[in-house]
Amino acid sequence: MNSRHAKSDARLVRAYLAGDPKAFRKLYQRYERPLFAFLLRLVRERESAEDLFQQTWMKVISGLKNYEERGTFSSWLFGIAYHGCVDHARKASRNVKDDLKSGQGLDCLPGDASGPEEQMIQREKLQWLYRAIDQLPSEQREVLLMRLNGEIPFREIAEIMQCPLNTVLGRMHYAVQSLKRMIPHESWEEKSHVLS
Amino acid sequence: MSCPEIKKTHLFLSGELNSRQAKKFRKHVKACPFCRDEANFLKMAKKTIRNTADIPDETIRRHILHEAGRRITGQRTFGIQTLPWFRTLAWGMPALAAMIVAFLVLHPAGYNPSVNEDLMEWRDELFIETYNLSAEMDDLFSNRWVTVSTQDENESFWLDDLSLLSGEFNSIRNQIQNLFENMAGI
Repeated sequence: MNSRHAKSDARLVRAYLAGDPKAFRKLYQRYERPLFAFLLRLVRERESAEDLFQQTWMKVISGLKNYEERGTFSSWLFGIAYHGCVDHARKASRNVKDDLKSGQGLDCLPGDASGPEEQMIQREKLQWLYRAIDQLPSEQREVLLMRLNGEIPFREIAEIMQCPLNTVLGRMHYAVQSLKRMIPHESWEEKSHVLS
Repeated sequence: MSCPEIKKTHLFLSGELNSRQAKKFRKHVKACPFCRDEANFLKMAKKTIRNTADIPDETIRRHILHEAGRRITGQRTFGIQTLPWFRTLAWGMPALAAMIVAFLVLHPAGYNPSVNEDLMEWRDELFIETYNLSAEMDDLFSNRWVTVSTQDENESFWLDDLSLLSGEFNSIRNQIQNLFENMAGI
């Protein structure tokens, strides 16, 4: 999440630890969708994603008392989820990138699109994107999803994945290059000035 | 072809460049189609991915929020699972009912040809009720049923669960009472 969210997350964590369960509810609501989408794309199986999702939050709940605000809450949360996925793949003696068919058993549900037409466009885009993401090497996919779903800063992704920042940036760049080759240009080209 | 500055696009978008670097990069990107392209793609990807409506099952949400509430308040919430007497009762009732039925059916003093047919019927009903109750208890203790704190706004969930189980108990109690009354010829 962005820095505004990071500060707000820290406040919510403190409020929860001071005995306010509603603060936790807000935190949960903020990260429910991005975290679940992240897990779903990594393990590509709904049941496993739900198990990992629950395990992640249980670890968060039991670990919050010892949580130190060194990084952002989102990095901590996604870090736990990421390591959960790694363990999951290891236990299943398989590599999450190779063993499942692309998009198997997953819904591509667009969220808050305005009308039916817009929803259809969003659904199509999401399907294109997910299909393409599923074909990425796992290291690239992990970086890309951590960044896009969790908005985790690259420096913190590097810490979570225990590799140099430059490696993380390289993975992100290669991921974007691969996706751009796989996805029709007209479906993502926008004329807006994103950097203005 | 690409741009040697392209990795900075990512750092720029994630807000990890300092103000001087960001200002410099902003100038660069205006003249660089590669970096602009990269940024446009990321904008679309982020918007599309974050617009997904996939969420986990509702019971998971309830369980997580219940657990968070329970841990932080440091108190026993008034959920069924946390009440020791209920646990004992939950396992004790079906066992007790089964023992009574066995006694009534098998004990010579309890045998009465005139009520035998009714007894058999009640025994079957009782067996089904106790079986259902045990299955629900299994669900409850394996966390597939999640109860939430009374402090929670979803208070009705545990009340529903409780009333369901309470109904099962009442049904068993009535059947046992009927059996006794029948045996006593009331």
